[in-house]
Amino acid sequence: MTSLVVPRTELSREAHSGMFLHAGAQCIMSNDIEVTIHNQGDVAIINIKGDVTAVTGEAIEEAYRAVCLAGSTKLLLVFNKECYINSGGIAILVGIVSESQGNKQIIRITGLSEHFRKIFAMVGLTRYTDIFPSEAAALEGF
Amino acid sequence: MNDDTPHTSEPPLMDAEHSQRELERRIFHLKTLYEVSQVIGSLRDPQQIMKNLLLMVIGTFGALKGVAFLVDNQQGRIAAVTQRSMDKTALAALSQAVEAIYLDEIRGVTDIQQAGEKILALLATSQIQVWIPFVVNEHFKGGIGLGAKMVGEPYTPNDQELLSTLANQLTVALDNALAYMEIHHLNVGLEATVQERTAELRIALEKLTEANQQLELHNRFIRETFGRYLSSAVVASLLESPTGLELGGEKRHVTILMSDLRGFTSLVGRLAPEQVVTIINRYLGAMVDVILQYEGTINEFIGDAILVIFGAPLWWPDHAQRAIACAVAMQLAMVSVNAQNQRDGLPEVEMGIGVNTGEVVVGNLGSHKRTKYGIVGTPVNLTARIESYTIGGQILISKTTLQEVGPILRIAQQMEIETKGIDRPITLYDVRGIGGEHNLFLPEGEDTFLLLSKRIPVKYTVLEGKYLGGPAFTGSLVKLSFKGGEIYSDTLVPAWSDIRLQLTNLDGEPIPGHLYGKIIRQYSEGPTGFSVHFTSMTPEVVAFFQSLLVVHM
Repeated sequence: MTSLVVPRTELSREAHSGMFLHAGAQCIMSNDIEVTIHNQGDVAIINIKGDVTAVTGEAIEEAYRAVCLAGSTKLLLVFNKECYINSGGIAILVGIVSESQGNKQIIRITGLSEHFRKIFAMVGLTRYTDIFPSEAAALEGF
Repeated sequence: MNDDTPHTSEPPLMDAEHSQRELERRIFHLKTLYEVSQVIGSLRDPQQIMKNLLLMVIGTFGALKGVAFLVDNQQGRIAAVTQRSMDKTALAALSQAVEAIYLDEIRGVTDIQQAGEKILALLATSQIQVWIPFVVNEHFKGGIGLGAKMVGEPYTPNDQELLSTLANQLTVALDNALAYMEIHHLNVGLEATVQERTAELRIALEKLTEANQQLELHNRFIRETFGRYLSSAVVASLLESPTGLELGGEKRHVTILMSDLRGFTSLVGRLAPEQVVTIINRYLGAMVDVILQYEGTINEFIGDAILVIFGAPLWWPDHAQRAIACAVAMQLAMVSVNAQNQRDGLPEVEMGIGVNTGEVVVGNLGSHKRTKYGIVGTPVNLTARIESYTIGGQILISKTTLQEVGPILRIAQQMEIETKGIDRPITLYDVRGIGGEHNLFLPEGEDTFLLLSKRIPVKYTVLEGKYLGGPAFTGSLVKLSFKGGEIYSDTLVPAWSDIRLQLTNLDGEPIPGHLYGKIIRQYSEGPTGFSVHFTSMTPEVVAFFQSLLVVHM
């Protein structure tokens, strides 16, 4: 299993000092995102922990490019349950999913709260990805 | 998997579910609006603002691509552009087209509505489905374009309304950022100007400091050069107009005064050093006060002699009058000096003064290590000669000084002298006072000579300079006062010669002590001889004369 940690401490302070609302309606400040990659079989699993925004989403894009370079065609995005994803972060995911179509890759997603599952469906992400309730369920038959 | 709702297995959609989804969509949009204001409102870089907003707009609608432009009207070019998933070639063509269309609009070829329609026509080939133009301010405008939604649905009027609202937020954020940049640039410019001015001021201050240091050095030079020898008023005048003072050397028509204590050299040998210092300091102190009062420049102290210039470095048109008045005042001040000497048990001293007027060279004389404001020229040497012919209490002046001052002088006598370095005899004038505004005169009173009942034999030697030289002559002292005497002698000694006399008693035995004098008159007819003014006498001689005078009084 390989693992890649992409801390986002080098992101400009100004660029990600905004206020974000968690699903639990808590109001917190988020500066970092932690993205790790590991493989399970032929599936590249990208674990995402933190706030996904237009700025921090670049870490996910980097992880996706690393996976593409490794030649993976099966990707599983695992969001931490505490993850908050704003519209900028969704744009990043839209871009990745859109690109995966050209790369003949299959992307599955898990770890989303009910709220974000609805958002993902609303913006159309679920037209090109499947969302699973658990990592085990997502890996089953992948 | 290509299903909007993969975990919803109960078709058809009911109204409630539709309403619920619409409600959630509105909530999501509201959150987006809130977050957009939070995120882009905190940014100051227009490019970052546009990039963040475009991503958030794309995320809000699930658009597959998007582009945003900002056009600078004044510069006639695209100021910022950001895109997502756009083809690069198409983007370049689109950028050119947008720029051209906006410039056309700027030039008045089309209006903003027509521009929007043209852009949208262009964007259709780039699969941009919606275009929202915006105006930031009179200088900047732009637009946001979005590609097809991932869900495959068209943009609704509500979407367009939300997009317009987001574009409005963008214009506010951009306007603030551009104003911030303008202020920042102004501040940078102002800061640069302040730094430039500060640097200029620093240089000016350094120059001023240097100039002050030079001025201070110059002032110090003047103070050190003249402070001790000029009145404070004259020094202040020099400092106030330093350019008026040429110290480099120049010819000047000045009057020179030289004073000297008569017989003081022989007196020094008979006094204790501290007594000599007391006498000379008292004398010089009194004389300096007088000289400074008449604005004379004390050029030099030479032992007990003083060399004073009138008319340099500061020019006084009445330099000769000042010099004469100063000389008279100096002689008058000797009364006080001698009164103090007498009180302290010290001998009285007499001063002779020579004054001459002529053209000299004045300026800084000396080497790099030591320079001094000085005076050179024949008139200086002649002044010293004139002074050497004086007896105590006398002021002798040259003809040039007499002519310079004019008829306000009181002259007691005039005399012809021959002196070294001058071919023909010169006339000296014995000054007793000056009228006019000065109105200063020496007290009158002839020295009273008593005829001695018995002649006192004397031997005398003519002094050369301050040294004994030549043969000893004999004579007889026939008349006597406390200041001089009359001597019969077969030898004709020139007037103004300095002599040393040795007295003997009636038995021909030498009387202890020394007596010095200057011959002030020569008698070549009748009994030959001369009148002598005593310049110095030892206490033994004083006692002897007192005994003689008491007998005859």
